[in-house]
Amino acid sequence: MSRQAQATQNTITLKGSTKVVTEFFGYAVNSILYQRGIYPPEAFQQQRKYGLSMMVTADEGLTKYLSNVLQQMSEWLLQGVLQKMVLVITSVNTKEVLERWTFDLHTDAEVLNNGNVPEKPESEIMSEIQAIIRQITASVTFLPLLNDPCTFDLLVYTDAASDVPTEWEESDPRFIANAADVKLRSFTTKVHKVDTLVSYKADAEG
Amino acid sequence: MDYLAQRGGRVKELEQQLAELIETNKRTQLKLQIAEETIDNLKADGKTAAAHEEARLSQAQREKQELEQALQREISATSALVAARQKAEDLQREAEAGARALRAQLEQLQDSASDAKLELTQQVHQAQAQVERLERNCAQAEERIQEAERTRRQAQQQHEKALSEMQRQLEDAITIAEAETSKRREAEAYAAEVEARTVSPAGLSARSSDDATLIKSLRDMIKQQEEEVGEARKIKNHAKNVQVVEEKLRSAEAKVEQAQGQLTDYAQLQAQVAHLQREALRWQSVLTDVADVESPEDVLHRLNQLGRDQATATQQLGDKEAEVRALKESLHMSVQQRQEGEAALKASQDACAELAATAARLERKVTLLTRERDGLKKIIESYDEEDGSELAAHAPAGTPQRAAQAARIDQLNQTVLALEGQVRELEAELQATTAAQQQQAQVAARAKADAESYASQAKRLEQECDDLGRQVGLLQEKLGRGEYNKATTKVLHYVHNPEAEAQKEVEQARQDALQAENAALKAHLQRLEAQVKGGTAEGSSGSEAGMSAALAEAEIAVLNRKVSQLEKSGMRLKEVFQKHIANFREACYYLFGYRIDMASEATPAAAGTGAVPTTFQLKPQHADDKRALLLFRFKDGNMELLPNEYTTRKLQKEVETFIVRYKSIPALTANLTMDMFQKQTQC
Repeated sequence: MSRQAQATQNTITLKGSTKVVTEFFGYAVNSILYQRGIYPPEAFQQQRKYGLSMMVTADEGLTKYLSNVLQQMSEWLLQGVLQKMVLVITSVNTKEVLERWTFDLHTDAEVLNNGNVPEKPESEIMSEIQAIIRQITASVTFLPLLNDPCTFDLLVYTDAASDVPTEWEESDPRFIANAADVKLRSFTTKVHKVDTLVSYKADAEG
Repeated sequence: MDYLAQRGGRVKELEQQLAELIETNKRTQLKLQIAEETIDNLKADGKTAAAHEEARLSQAQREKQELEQALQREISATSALVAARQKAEDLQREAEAGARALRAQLEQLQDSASDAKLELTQQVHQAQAQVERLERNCAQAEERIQEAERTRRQAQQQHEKALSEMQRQLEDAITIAEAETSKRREAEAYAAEVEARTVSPAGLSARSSDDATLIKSLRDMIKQQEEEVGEARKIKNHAKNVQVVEEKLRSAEAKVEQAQGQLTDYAQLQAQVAHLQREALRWQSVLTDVADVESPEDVLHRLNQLGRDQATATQQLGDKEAEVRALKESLHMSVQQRQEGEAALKASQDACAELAATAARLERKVTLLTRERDGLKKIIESYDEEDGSELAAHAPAGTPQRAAQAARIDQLNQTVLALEGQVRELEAELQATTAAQQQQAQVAARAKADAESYASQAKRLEQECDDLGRQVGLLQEKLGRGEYNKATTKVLHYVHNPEAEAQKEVEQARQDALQAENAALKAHLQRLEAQVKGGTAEGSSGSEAGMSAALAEAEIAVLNRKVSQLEKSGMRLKEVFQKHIANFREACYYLFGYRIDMASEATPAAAGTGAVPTTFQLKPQHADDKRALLLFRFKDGNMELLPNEYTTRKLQKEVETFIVRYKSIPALTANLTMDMFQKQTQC
C-alpha cells in the first residue's frame, strides 16, 4: 500500500498517522493555552473531541498562526524529519521561559522506508490521546501560577538536513534553568510515538 | 524245647525290637514329617524371606533408581547452576566493562566540562571586561556630553559676546562710515567747486598756491577716507565672520543635539547594562545551582558540548538500556536458578533424609535378617544334630532317606548361603547408598554455597542494575530537557510567532512613548533656541514652563497608549458582556415566556438626580396579536405598568384584578401566559 492511502479502522498509514498526530498537537496546544491562561477564556470555544469537551481558540490571529505551523509540521511528519515539538511559555515583561511542554516524536523507520502498514484500533489511539489531554487538564494542579502576562512560541526540532521554509528561522532551544520535569503519558499510532513532558521553572523555595 | 524256648524268646525279642523299630520308624517318620514340615516351613520362610528379600531388593533398586535420578537431577542442577554462574560472571564482566566505559565517559565529560568551565570563565571575564568597557564608554560619553554642553555654553556665550561686539563695532563703523561718507561728499563738493573755480581763468593765477595746498589736503583726506573705508570693509568682513561664528554656533548646537542623542544612547546603554547585569545575576543565581558551570556562556558552551556528546550519549543510552535489559534478564534467570538451586538443595536434603531413613531401615532389616539367619542356622544346626544323632542311631549311612535328608540340608544350606549373599549385596548396596548419600550431601553443600554466591551476585547485579537505571534516568532527563545534537538536529520556529508579536507590541509601546518624549523635548529645544535668538530676557521661567509642557506631552503620549490598551480591553469586555446579555435575554424568553427589551429614559434632569427611569417592554412568546405588548416603568425601586392600547382594551379586567387589587405583576404575566397558551392549544 502506498503512503497516500488513508487510515482505516484498524490499519494506519503514514499519512493517517500524520493526520492523527497533527490533530493531537493542535488540540494539545489549544488545551495548554486555555489551561495555563495564556489567552483569556472568552477567546476559546468548546468543541467535542476524543470523547472530551475541548477548548479551541476563536482568536483569528492565533488560529492562523497555528494553522500555518501545523501544516508545515504535517509536511515534516510525512518526510519523517520531525523529531520534537516544544511549546515554550515566556513572560512578556522579562522574556523569561517559565514552562516548556515537550512532545517527543519517534517515527517508525520501517513504515517510513518500506511503507509497512501496522495495525492498531483507532479507539485505542483515541483512548491514549484522551489520557494525555486529561493529564494536561490536570496539570494546573501542580504547575506554578503564571502571575505575569505570558506569551508562547512553538519550537520544532527537525533533521539538520531538512529544508527551512522562508517563514521559518532557527531559534534558541529556550531551556529552563533549574527546571523540574514531569513526564506525562505517551501515545503511539504504531507509526509515530509521542512522549509528553512538561518542564517548569522550579520554585526557589521549593 | 530250650531251643524252641530260645527261638520263641528270640522271636519275642525280635518282635519287640521290630515293634520298637516300628515305633522308632514311626517316630522317625514323625520326626521326618516334622522335619519335612520344618523344611516346608523353612522353605516357606525361605520363600517369604526370598520374597521379602526380592521386595526389599526391588525396593532398594527403586530407591537406588530414585537416588540415581535425584543424583542426576542434582548433577544437572549443579551443571545448570555452574552454567548460570558462568553466565552471571560473563554478565558481571560485561556490566563491569560497561561501568568502566561509563566511568571513562563520565571522566571525559568531566574533563570536557572542566575545559568548558575554563573557557566559559574566560568568556565571563571577557564579558565583564566588555561591561566595564561599556561602562567606561558610558562614562566617557557622559563626560563628552558634559564637555559638549560646556563647549556649547561657552560657544553660545562667546557668540553672544562676539555678536554684541560685532553689532557695536558695526554700529560704530556704520556711524564712522556715514560720517566719512558725508565728509567725502563734502570734500567732493568742495573739490568740484574748486575745480570749477580752477576752470575759470580769472582766479586761476591768484589762488593757485592756496588751491594746491587745498588739493593736497583734500587728497590727504581722501586717502584717510580710503583708509577708513578699508577699515570699514574690514569691519564688514568681521561682520561676515559673525555669520561664520553663527554657523559655528549652529554646528555647536548640532553637536549638542548629537550629544543629547548620545545621552539617549547612554540611557539605552545604561538600560542594556542594567539588563545585562540582571541577566548576569540571574545566570549567576542559576549557575550557583548548576555544577561545573559558572557563567551563562558557560552554560551555552556546556550545552554545545553536551549537544556534541548527545549522539554518542543516545547511542550509549540505547546500549545501556540493552545491557540493563540483559542484566535484568540475567538477574531474573539467576534468581530463577537460585530458586531452582534452593529447590534442588531442599530436594537433595529431603532425599538425604529419605536415604538416611532408608539406610536406617535397611540396617534394621539387615539386623533382622541376620537374626533370622542366625535363628535359622541354629534351627538347622539343631536339626543337623538331631538328624545326625538319629541317623547315627537309626538310619544307616548310604540309605536313601539319609541321602534325601542330606540333599535337603544342602538345599537349606544353599538357601542360607544365597540369603547370606543377598544380605551381603544389600550391605554393599547400603554402603553404596551411604556413599551416594554422602556425595549428595557434599553436592548439596556445594549447591548451597553456590546458591549463596548466586544470591550475593544477584544482589550485586541488582545494585548495578539500579545504578544503570539511575544513569538511564539521568540521560532520559537530559533528553527530556530538550538537549540535542547540533550536527543532526536544528531548532526552528515560525517567524511571526505570538511571542515575537507580543515583543513587537511592547517595543512599539516603548517606541511611542520615546517618540512622544522626543517630540516634547524637540519642542522644548525649539523654544530654547527661540529664546536664545530672541534674547535671554524671559529667563528661566520660560524654560521651566517648557520642560513641564514637554513632560506633560510625554505623559499624554503614555496615557494615550494606556487609553488605547484600555479601550481594547473595554471592547473585548463589551463583546463578552453583549454575548452574556444576549444569552440572558434568550434564557428569560424561553424560561418566562416574554422577550424583554429595556430602554433608559436618560433625561438631563433624571441624570442629574441619579435616578434614571427605565422602561421595560415585554413581548409574550405565545401571543397571536402583534400588538400584545406590556410596558413597565422601573423607577426608584418601583415597577409600574404603563397603559397602552393592548392593556386598556384587552387586559383591563386582569389589570384591575392583579395590578390594582393584588399588586402582583408576576400574577398578571403568568395569567396572560396561561391564557395565550390555552388559546393556542385549544385552537
